[in-house]
Amino acid sequence: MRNGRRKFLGQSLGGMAGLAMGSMAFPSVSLAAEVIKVGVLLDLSGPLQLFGTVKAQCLRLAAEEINANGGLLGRQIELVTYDTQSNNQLYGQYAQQLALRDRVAVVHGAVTSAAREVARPVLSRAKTLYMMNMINEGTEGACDRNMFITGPTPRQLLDNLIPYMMEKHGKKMYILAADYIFGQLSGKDAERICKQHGGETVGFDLFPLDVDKFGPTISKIQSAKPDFVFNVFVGPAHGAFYGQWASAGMNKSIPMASHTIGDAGEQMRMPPEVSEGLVTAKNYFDELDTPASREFIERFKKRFPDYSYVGSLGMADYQGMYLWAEAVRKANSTDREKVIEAFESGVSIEGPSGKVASHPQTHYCTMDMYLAEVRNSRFEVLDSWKQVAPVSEGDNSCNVLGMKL
Amino acid sequence: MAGGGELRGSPPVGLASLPAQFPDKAIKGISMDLALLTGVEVVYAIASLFLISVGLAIVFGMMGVINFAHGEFLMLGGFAFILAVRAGVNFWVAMFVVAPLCVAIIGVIIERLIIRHLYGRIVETILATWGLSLLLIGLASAVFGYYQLGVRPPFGVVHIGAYQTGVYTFFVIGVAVVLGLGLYFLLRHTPFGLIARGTMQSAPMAAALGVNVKHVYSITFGIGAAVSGLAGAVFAPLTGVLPISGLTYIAKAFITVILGGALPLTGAALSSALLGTVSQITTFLSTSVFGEVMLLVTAIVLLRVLPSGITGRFFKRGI
Amino acid sequence: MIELARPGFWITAVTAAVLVLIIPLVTEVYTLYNLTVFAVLAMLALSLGLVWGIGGILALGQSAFFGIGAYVYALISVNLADSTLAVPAAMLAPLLVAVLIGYFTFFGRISDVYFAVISLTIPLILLSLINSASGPAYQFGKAHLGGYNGIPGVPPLNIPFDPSAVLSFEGMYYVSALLLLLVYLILRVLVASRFGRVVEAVRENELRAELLGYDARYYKLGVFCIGAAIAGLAGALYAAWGASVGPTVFSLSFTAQAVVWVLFGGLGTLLGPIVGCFLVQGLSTWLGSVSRISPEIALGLLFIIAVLLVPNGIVPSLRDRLKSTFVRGGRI
Repeated sequence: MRNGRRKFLGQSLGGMAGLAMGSMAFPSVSLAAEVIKVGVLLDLSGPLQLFGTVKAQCLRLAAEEINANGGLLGRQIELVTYDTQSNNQLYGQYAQQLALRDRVAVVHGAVTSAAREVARPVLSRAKTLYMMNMINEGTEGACDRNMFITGPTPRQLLDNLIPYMMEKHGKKMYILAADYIFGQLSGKDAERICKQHGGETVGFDLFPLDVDKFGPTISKIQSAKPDFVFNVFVGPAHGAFYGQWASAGMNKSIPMASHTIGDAGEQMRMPPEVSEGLVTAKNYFDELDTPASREFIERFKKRFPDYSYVGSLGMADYQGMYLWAEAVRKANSTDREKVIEAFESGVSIEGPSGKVASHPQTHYCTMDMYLAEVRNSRFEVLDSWKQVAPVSEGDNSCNVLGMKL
Repeated sequence: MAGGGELRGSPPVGLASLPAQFPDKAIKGISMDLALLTGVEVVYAIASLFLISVGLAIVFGMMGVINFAHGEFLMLGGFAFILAVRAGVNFWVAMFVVAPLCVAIIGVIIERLIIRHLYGRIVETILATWGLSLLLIGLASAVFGYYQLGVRPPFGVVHIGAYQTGVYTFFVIGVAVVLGLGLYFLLRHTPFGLIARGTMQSAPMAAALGVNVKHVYSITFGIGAAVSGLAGAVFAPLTGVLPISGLTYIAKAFITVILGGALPLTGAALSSALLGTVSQITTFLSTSVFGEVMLLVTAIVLLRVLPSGITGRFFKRGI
Repeated sequence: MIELARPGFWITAVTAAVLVLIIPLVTEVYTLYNLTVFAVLAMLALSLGLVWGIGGILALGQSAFFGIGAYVYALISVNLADSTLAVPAAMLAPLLVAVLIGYFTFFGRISDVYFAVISLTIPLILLSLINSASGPAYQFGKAHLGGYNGIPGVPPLNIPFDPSAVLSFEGMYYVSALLLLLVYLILRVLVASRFGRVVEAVRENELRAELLGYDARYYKLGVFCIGAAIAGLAGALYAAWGASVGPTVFSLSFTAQAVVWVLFGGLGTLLGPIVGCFLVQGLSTWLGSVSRISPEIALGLLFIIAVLLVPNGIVPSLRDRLKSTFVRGGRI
């Protein structure tokens, strides 16, 4: 881990290093005809580096692969990376810089939805395209023509996960969720889906993001006697909860599902006895046994020897870079409006996770979904669904077509 | 407003409503099993708060040092423990020997290099220890990373009527009690304890009597660090350890210690008892959010009533 | 008003004003964007420098007033689609809260580290509450509190009573930097005035000040409230700058940052916190664009070394080295 970490720090982006060394006050001299600048806005230090580091690595890998294959429109992609240090204020500052100083063609970034909400209006005002490659709370959270989202919505993840659990274990569900928009909306979606399939939500508890003592909750769950528990924890709460759940012996009696477990490598951090049997649904698992996936992991390991896990969060970025590149090719230009039109006319790529296609109406993506269970600290993929749309049929609550840019 | 209450169709949450949902379990309101389990949870909350605070209390009470890197000592203890167990060291040795020892050594080094120069200067220690906190988090991120595999909590479960809880819960409570008693014994009945208390009361006086005050401070800081390391190790199986784990502890520990007042042990114990009880009961009756808020509000109210902390007014002759 | 008679005061004022006005001519817009937020945060630092350095009140939770100001500005300007009334409201709300807290604590004779804890809990309580306040139930007129995601789409400052005349980035920079200068100068006058001297006397020895006939509680309350109002103004500017506000302004690390700026720059001075803020913020911003150094390690080392080498902070240490021609026994 030590070597890999140092190596990653050492292998800073070539062009970016030169750029950053320049004073912040003066515009950089760019050879616009030669390169296409792409902005990367992620948390590479601070608590959120847990998520940001692997996402940045995936963006890097994708960019390098595109460059090795002749570049984009005959030009090389140059990444301009800023470390937002888990500080939302820096998202605003760096987004502005990427747009006005570095004049990038697109910005890939944001880990939390709060950060997204800081960067989004800045980039919109600066007329710079924004790609948000992250699991999200669905169209209720953000619906913006200047933005493309390559991460799954709760609907994509839960539409199949909840019925799977209900079929296997029973119709009574208990929901535990982190107490903020993403947790609440995901929980509500789960509740709705459960009801649609004739089930019942026997409990719905919300927790502050940093709570780590779950004794009372575990008692409550025991009283309510659900058939399974569905949780939307984020970050450290995962590790905290499962440890205590297992300590109380509950992991042997009540099954558990979550669409966020594994996003921060939890399955690798928890002892096998604690994580055994947890069920989740995602757009991608490293353990996915397709040729495309296996080859991707090989390439990633070769490029980043400190590989531990990529997961669906990193894959969203990898796909994000490729999808954007595809839209640029189709538009034959990096001009924002042309790229948006190309996206809206329908672009798709075949990636390690399967086919990823743009969803013109919402600017989210239609993707393949997989369901897996934790066995021996690894994910075993049990089921899959092809091309799940980000919103339900006929859901017009978010329609960006025709929105002014 | 209570979690889930605003969502249509969800049953009311909060333990108080459970008898209505499960009438067969209820005997005069809340069932005996549940009451017992709740009681255990409250004691556990108190024990947890005590464990995470007592190290800071020792350092603050004895030397007036506000160590903002305290959370990181807990984190380092957790990592020391997990890495030792993963390397094959016996679980108990890792928890009770390796973790405290490692963090004690780190603590003494830090004391020598940094803290020593800043005794009596509260303001500078704040900046220095905050810087230290950042530094330790940065180093831990670089060295340990974020994918450290954890350790399973041992023991099995214990049944309380229709409910079950982990035996580990009682273990944590046990550790808190034994630690508290051990520290009391150390401070009350050993020569070192006497010297330490004397130095705490008046360093110049102790120096005049031939005590090497610098030494005492060093050792005391080391003990505070060791205790924090132990606490970090105790919680590691339950929560896993990340380089940023320390940040979740520092605010609560700090508040508990200050509310406790000048006496490290008595203060921390009483403060934990009060805050833990209030916060846990509130969580039962409503949601975790309110439990957290209640803890903070209680601290405010108590500090208003007892402007020098609990032991500023009560139990003044304790430890 | 002796301060106003000092030539040093006017020289500082004019030099600084000229500097502020010149900078946009030699830098790009994105730099102004960064400088604006530095100036706004420096105003928060200044407020803490006043309350703590001058007033001796260890307000570890000063960021609560900043956050309240930011949220009040956001809620009111979103609802009225006009920033004119939002700014004074953003100063008034924290002031009222400060009166409450001040009354509760100073009149209860709570001081030092005990006050610090109470002060620290305020932003933490607000953080807990606001983080969970997402969902349609939590709205104030047209604006949703937004919980963890915060309030997006906060209007920028506009010319008073003319919502269509919105400030550009340059305009925002001028307003923020000049306001910072103005507040600084006002505080300099305040500190040198009779009120200021009594506040300092209370800081040095509360009992003695009381024995001399001054009711320390009112003076502490006064300086605490002034600090809160300034922090609230800074909060409003912050929300206008970022066009959004989120609960992270109430986080432990944000409030600790304010403390760090003041300590690093020099506790007890008015210029110190401003300098400290600019240096630390500038460094953090720069570090994020260079991938070789971990910002945490760099900043952590910086603070530790600073404490060991310049324990009084940067400005006092520098001042001690320079031959002071401008300031004769007064303060920067």
